[in-house]
Parts: sequence; C-alpha cells; structure tokens
Amino acid sequence: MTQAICFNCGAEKFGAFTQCTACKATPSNQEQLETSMALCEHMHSSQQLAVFAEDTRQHRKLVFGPGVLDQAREALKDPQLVSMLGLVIRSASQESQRPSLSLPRPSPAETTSFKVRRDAPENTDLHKTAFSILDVTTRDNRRRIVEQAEERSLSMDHELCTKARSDLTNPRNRLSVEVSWLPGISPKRASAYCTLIKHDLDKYMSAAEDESPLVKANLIAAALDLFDADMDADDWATWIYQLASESDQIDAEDVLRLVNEDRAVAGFPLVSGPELVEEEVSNRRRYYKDSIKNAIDRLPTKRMIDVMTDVVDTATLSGEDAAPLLIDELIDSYELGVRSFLDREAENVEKLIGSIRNSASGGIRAVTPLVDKLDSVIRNWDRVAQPIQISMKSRGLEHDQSRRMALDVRGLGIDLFNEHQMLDQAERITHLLKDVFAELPEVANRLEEDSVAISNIHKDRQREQKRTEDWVREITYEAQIGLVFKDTLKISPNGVEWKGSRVALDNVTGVGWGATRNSVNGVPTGTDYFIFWCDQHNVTRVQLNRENVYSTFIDKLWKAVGVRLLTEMLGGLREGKRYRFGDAILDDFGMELTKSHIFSADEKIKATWAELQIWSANGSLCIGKTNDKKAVLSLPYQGANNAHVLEAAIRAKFKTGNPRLSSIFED
Amino acid sequence: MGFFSKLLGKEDEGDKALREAMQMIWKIIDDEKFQNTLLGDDMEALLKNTPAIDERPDGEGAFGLDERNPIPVNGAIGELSYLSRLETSNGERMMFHRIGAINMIDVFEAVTYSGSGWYLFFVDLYHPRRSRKAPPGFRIASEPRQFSGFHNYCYNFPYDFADAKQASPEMLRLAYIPFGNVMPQIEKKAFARPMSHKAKLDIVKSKMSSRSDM
Repeated sequence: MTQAICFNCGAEKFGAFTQCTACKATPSNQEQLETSMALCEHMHSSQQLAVFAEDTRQHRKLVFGPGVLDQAREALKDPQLVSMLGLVIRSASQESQRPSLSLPRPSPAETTSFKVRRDAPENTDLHKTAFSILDVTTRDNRRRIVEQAEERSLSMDHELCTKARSDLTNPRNRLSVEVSWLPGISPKRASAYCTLIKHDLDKYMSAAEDESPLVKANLIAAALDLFDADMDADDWATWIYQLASESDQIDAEDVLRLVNEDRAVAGFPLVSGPELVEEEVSNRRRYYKDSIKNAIDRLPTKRMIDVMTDVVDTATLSGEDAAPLLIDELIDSYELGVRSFLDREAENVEKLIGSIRNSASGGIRAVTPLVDKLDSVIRNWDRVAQPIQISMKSRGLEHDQSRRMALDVRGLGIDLFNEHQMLDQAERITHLLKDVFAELPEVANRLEEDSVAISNIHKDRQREQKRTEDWVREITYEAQIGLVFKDTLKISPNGVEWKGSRVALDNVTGVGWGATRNSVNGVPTGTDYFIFWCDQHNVTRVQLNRENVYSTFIDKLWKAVGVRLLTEMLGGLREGKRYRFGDAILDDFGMELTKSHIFSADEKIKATWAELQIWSANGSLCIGKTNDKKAVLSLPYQGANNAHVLEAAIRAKFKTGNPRLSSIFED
Repeated sequence: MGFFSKLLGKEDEGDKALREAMQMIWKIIDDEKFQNTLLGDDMEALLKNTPAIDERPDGEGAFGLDERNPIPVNGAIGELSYLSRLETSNGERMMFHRIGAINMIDVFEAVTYSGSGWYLFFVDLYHPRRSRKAPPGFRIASEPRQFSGFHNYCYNFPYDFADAKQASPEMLRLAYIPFGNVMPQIEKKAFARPMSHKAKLDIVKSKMSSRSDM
C-alpha cells in the first residue's frame, strides 16, 4: 500500500486520498487533493516524506520541487479518478463524526495575480545576503564559510566574497546578515526560496505566507522588487500591507532564540541579549520602508496614489483603526513627496474661492462655471490627499491643510447662500465637501449640520412656495356680471377688481357683504347680494343676484383680505390700539358702547367681553351689554366696514374664555 | 468478414481436427451458454436465476468504471470474454488482469496494447450473459476476440503476460491472443502506470474486500 502523509497533521497514512486515522481529515478541495497527491511515495521518497511530515506538523508551508504540483494537478484531471475521489470524500464525510473541513478563506497569495516586471534584477535582495552569496547555511561553521568564500571567489567578485565571509565570521556583523536572511528555516527551504523567487513567484509568495513574521517580511520585501507595475492596485496594496503587518509582529526575543539556535550549531558566540537584535530589527524595518518606497516609485503617479489609498484604507479599516507603524511612516513619506502638489493646488482653490465671491453679484450664471472648476480642482486635490487624510483619521488627527481648505470652501457656500440666496450652489458645495472631506471628523460634523440646515431651508422654501401657489389658487376668481352689458368681477393676488377698477389686496382697508331678500305682497321676488371693499380713498360696491357668484367671491375675499384685516386688527389690539365701529370703540378687553337717552345726552358705557353678547338682526351685527338693552351697537353688514371681521373675532374669542380679544391668537 | 467467420466453415473445408479445435475456441470466447457450462453445476444454476441485463437498473456512476455500476457478465469466463472484446474509442485493444474484489464486484486493471491508457473496470460476474453495453469512452468489437487478459493477479502486469498465459488452464490457453500481438511493447518496456492510475489503484485497494496480490 502506498505510503503517504496527511496534508493536515503530517501523520503517516496509506493512500494519498484516504482519511487520516490520526486527525480524521480527508482531502476535499483541489488544493488539499493536489497536496495529498504530492505527499505520497508516488512522488517523493520516504526520506522526503519525512521532511514534509515535519514541516506539516510545524505548520510550515510546504515547498515542493518544480513541477511536483503540476504533475499532481495533471493527475487529478483523470475523470475516473475524479469520480472515485467524489466517492471517497462522500464516504469519509458520512463516516466521520466531526464536521467536514470547511473550505479555507483564500489567502492573499491565492487571490493575487503576480506579474514579474520585465526589467527585474537578476538577483533580489535575498540573493545579495552573505549567506546566499557564499551558498552557506546558518548552521555552517567558520571553516566551511572560509572554504566557500575561497571557492566562490574563483567564479565571483573576489571583494564581494571577502566581504560576505567577513560579515558572516564577525559575530557583530553576522547578526545583521542573520536578521536579513531567513532565520529559523531549514537550509533546504532557504535554498528553495532563492530558486522559487526567480522562477515561480506564485509558489514563492504562497509558501511565504506561513513563515514567521521576520522571514515572511524578508521574503515579501525581496519580492516587491520584482512586482510589475501592471499588477492590480489591490494586489500591490495587499502585499504592502502584509509586509507592514509582519514587520509590526517581529519579536526580538523570538529572533534571538532562532539566531542563537543556529549559532550554537555553527559554533559562533551566542548573541547576548535582545537589545542587539532589536537594533537590527529596527534597521530592518527601515529597509522594509525603503523597499516599499522603491517599489511604488516605479508606479505611474495615478497608480501609486491608488495603491497608497488602498494600502492605508485596508490597514486602517477606512481610518477606523490604527495602522501598522510602517504604514504610518510610509504615509508620512508620501506626504512629503506630494506636499508641493498639494500646496500648489491649495493656492488654486483659494484663488477660485476669491473669484467666485467676486462674481457672485453677477448671479448664478456667473458663478456656476467657477464652481464647476472648483469642484474639479478640489476632487483632484483630494484624490492625492486621500491617503494622508485616512491615515490622520486613524491616528485621531485631521490633515490640517485639508481642514483649512474645507472650512474655506464651506465659508464660500454659506456666503453664497446668505448673501446671494444661491441655495443650489450652497447645497452643491456642501455635498462636494461631504463627499471629499469625509475623513475629517470635525469638518464632516459641521458639514452635516450645514447639510441639514440647508435641507430644512430648502424644504421650508418648497413648503412656502406650495402654500403660495395654493393661496393663489384659492383666492383667484373671476365672474361676468350683468345680463346684457357684462362687467367683470375679479379677485387675484393682484387685487380686487370691478368694472376695470382694481385695488391691490394690501391696500384694502375694509370689506363687507350681505343679502336682501325682496318680496311683493309677501311673495318672494328674489335676493339682492351686495359686496363692497374700500381703500383709503374709495369704496367699491357691487350688486349682483347670482348666489353662487356671491358666495364664491366672498369666500375668496375673506381669504385674500378678511383674514389679513382680522390679523392686523388683533395685532393692533394686542398693542393697545383702539378701533371705532359705528359709535362704539373697540379695545382688547371689551367695547365702549353708546347708550342713547331721549331726554339727556348719550351715555358711554364700558363693557368687558364677559358683559357683552352678539347677535344678528335685520341685516346687522348687534353687540349689546348683557343687562342693559339700551346699550347696543348695530353694524349693518352691507354698509359697515369690517362687520364680518369683527364678528369673526368676537365669536372666536367667546370660545376661549380669555378676557382679551387678541387671545384668539394664543390658541 | 472477421477472422473467425472465415475460419469456421465459410471458407474451403480444412482439416477437420483444426476445425473442431477452432469451434471449441470460438465457443470458449463467445458462446455464453457453453461458457456457463464450464463454471460448474452450482454456478451455472445460480446464473440461470439471475437477470440477463446489459446494465443494472440501480447502477450509479459511470457504467463499468464505478463500483456501483459494474458490468454484468456470465462468470469468470464471461469476464475474460467481455474485457477481451472491449476496446477504446480509438480501437485499441487492452490487456487486463484481476486485482481483487470489492464485495461481490471484481476489479480489473487494464492497459492498452500501446501502453497509452490505463483503466480500472468493475465487473459483476453473477449474470447469465455478458452485457452488450460498453463503458463510456469504450466500445465492444463486433467480432469475438481472443482473450487478452487474466482472471488472476499478475504481479508484474503486463510484463508477465507470457507467464500468466502459461499458468492458465490448458483449455483456456488456446483461446488467448498470440504473444506477437503484445511482445514488441513488452520488450520495449513501454508500460508505466501514470500517477493518476496509481492514485486510483490506491483508492480501490483501500476499499477491497479481497485482493489478489495478498
């Protein structure tokens, strides 16, 4: 039976695709099947399988020789095998008590389409380390290093080999080289990485994913030098972030332990403490930053900005979380690089704001093209500033230049609204700023308030406009009066009009209307309807006999003029004014009535609203003192100014019980 | 007109003894009733009581290539007869040997004469006649064919073809293909199991209830 290794736990089993008796895992997806195929004696010797078993147990990424996985993949195309594997998987999942292994989330290496640039250097930084130059391992002793240096110097640059030997044999220099290399991994794996990076970047990056932070960071940093500019911005960002993240996780104690393990075998003095390693790790972090900078410097400007934005967005969860230190440093360097551009564009924005203010008096047509330009410049500016803004937000700060610009532009929007009533432009600017400066919390809050305020004003204006339109509709009316010669009776926002004579609504100071039923010998002969209105100078009277015209017109007249007159009168009363109606005086608390005597002078009787009552009789509004029948005011509806207005006010007041007539305002 | 048709009476009368021998070979390789008589009384009786079908109605998976859908044949000789007549869609014949059984289903490993294709077939020998149906990707030759495989396990398959033939019962030995049909490839050592086939063998062997190599 075929000897094999479990892809999951490294235990020995028989048959590549059988269920592992140790961990019960059965290969179920393509990657696991390919790996399982590679982990059997059909493809590797027992000794090789033992190495892979150990790698699997240590959760290290398995590094297969060139073509191994391709062979496995090819074998797995056999239809009968595919069918059989279906059976194996099904029966295993039926037999196994534990749930079947869920498909793992794709790793960055699986989702990245790596492309190596055409002008990639023949040797990466990995190959430039002393270990690689001399082809020695971390466990080779001083003698072996010297021998290798002599041998390699026959075919390579002598000085290079001498320096490499010196670096590796001098304990102090050696630490720097060790930290730059791949501490803790086997010589075979290290050698495999040096090969893979040249020939199969996908496998190299895939294998790197499971290494310790320092090794992984070193591997990624070396690979960045090969990335092609055409690779997706997302992929660039992913690996830059991976490098930064691993850089943060490097633990000097761990590195010290790994270095000393190898030094013990190689016969070099052990590193005394983590401080020295810490120093080298710091140097290494600077190298990582430089590696990233050098890599993204090769990108076209637009792509570089996209990559930086993606990196910081991913690293900070859109500004909500702290980024790895390396990302912050990277952004600081980026800011230095783009500062001249941002300064120049900020000046342009300032000039545009000035131009818009100057041309605002020219109206919307003068302003709109300039606001268009401002929109374009700000968006372009923000595109470049975006990584900085996100980074600052993640650090609890605001990008000062962005904040100043945002507030300047906000001020422009407010001025356009307040001073020039350009609501649409103000709203547009607010939306632009909200869109562009969302990463500035303080500005975003203010803009949100502005946006709400503008929105409310906008809604109020809309409501007001609708009310006006409704009012216009409600008060507009026109009728032709007369059997033969027609005269036009008309009311509209422009005024009330009769026989071509018009009085503006606001100039009307008094209105009245009424009807008289006619009869001859007790037989009804029709009703005459009367309407009048007056201004400071004239009274216009209309007589008609069509009830529907009468009732419609007085309804419009009341809405257009009556309500205003009532409001004005109540407002005046509230201020202490007094109004004459006939021979009576009206004030806010009651009326002064005239009581007539036959044989003596008339008597003025003051009565509060509680002492007064009203009624209609003989076409007149009557107001009298409750206990004094002779103290009565009679206002004919057809002749007295505003009798209906007064009646409406008093009837409304009686419903409130308040001593003041103007109190009807309060309800 | 095939080789056997020519040989059996449709040509000029030949030697009578040769004719009788040929008739016997023909019966062995193609005559299902005769084949069944060679299985012994008990087995013959058993087969009579089973359905004569081309494919199991409850079969699942690829016919003949999946253990759940084995090829119905009439006994051990029916297996040899069926598989010897089977050829790839390109018309290539195959050598085969029995590697074991998964419960009642016999498993045969086969390789084309050229060594280009390796297969596993699942066969159910408890039927009164052999199926007329071929697995997907294969076809059944219209003429009877001499045996090209064995009901035994060949430890060095197919290089031990000659030894296996020699070890067969004398009566069957006559029904086998001539060595010359396969020797050139065997001598060239042209047969090597591909990775996928090895994997299939691993899977099948892990499920076998009986194995011929143990």
